[in-house]
Amino acid sequence: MRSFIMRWPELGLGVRCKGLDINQAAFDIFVENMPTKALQGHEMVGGWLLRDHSILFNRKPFDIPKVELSTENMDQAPVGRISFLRPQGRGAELLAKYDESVDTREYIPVAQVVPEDLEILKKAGREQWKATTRTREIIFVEFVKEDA
Amino acid sequence: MEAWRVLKEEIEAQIALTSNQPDQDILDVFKYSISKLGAGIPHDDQIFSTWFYGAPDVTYAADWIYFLIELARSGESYSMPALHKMAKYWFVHPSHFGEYCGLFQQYSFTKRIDRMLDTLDRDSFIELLTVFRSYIMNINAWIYQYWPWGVSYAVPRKDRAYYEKGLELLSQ
Repeated sequence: MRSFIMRWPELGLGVRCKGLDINQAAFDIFVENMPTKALQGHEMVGGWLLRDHSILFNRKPFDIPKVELSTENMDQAPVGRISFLRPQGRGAELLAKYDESVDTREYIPVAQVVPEDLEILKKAGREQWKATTRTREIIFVEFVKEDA
Repeated sequence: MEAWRVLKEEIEAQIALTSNQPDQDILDVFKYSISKLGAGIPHDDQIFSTWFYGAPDVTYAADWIYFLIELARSGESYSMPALHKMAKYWFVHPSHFGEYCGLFQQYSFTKRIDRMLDTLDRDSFIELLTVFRSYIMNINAWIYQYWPWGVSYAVPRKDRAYYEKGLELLSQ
């Protein structure tokens, strides 16, 4: 099964993410670049989204033309959606929707957190919100292949 | 080794560093409120306006570099002189402002890219800017980390009902 783990060592939390029927090549490139990690952030305008401002593709560059990628509006995306923003070459931004979003812009969906882990994702989101707005704790997120 | 490849390797080293920790510029400006070139001093010696203007310029740089790379890809009609000109307009200027705010390393790289732009062919232009974008994205992530988001609780959103209530209270 096409899947990976998104985990936050500082929080002791992790969720399982599965590939979608769309943007499978984008998912595959992402997984080829695992393990990878990034500074975890939080969306500050569009709603309850974890936001990673710098996901690096250090092994395999992202070379899929923009026109070949499917998009969806974030406010319409299901909770648990993992999406890219501007994937290109060596990097992308990544968003993980853990609750309501008011962002009507288009993003590139690549994976979905499995239903049984959605509450864990929400917990991670709430913890990151607390860190971003109050405690200033530095939290990293790691992406690993599920069999790693 | 060609000059752009030497620069690329130096940027790669900074990408590796900033993937795990902020660089000294970020710590100075956004954690310790130290801006060494004087930005903000004439304005009651505060740092907030330096943060407000300096941080978005780094975000802009990442965005404009993304667009430059898209426009440089094969199939697009932009000539190399046109791309070089756009690069100067789009990210050299905001990067210079970032330096004024205290983000020296990023502008150091930008200046060197600017100086060698005319020597870059399409492939090396894309390759060098791709690496530079990754570095800028890392810097951007740390700026977001240290930006004082808690301040936002001091400025809540308001709506029509809020002001109608205010008018109602005034009329009493």
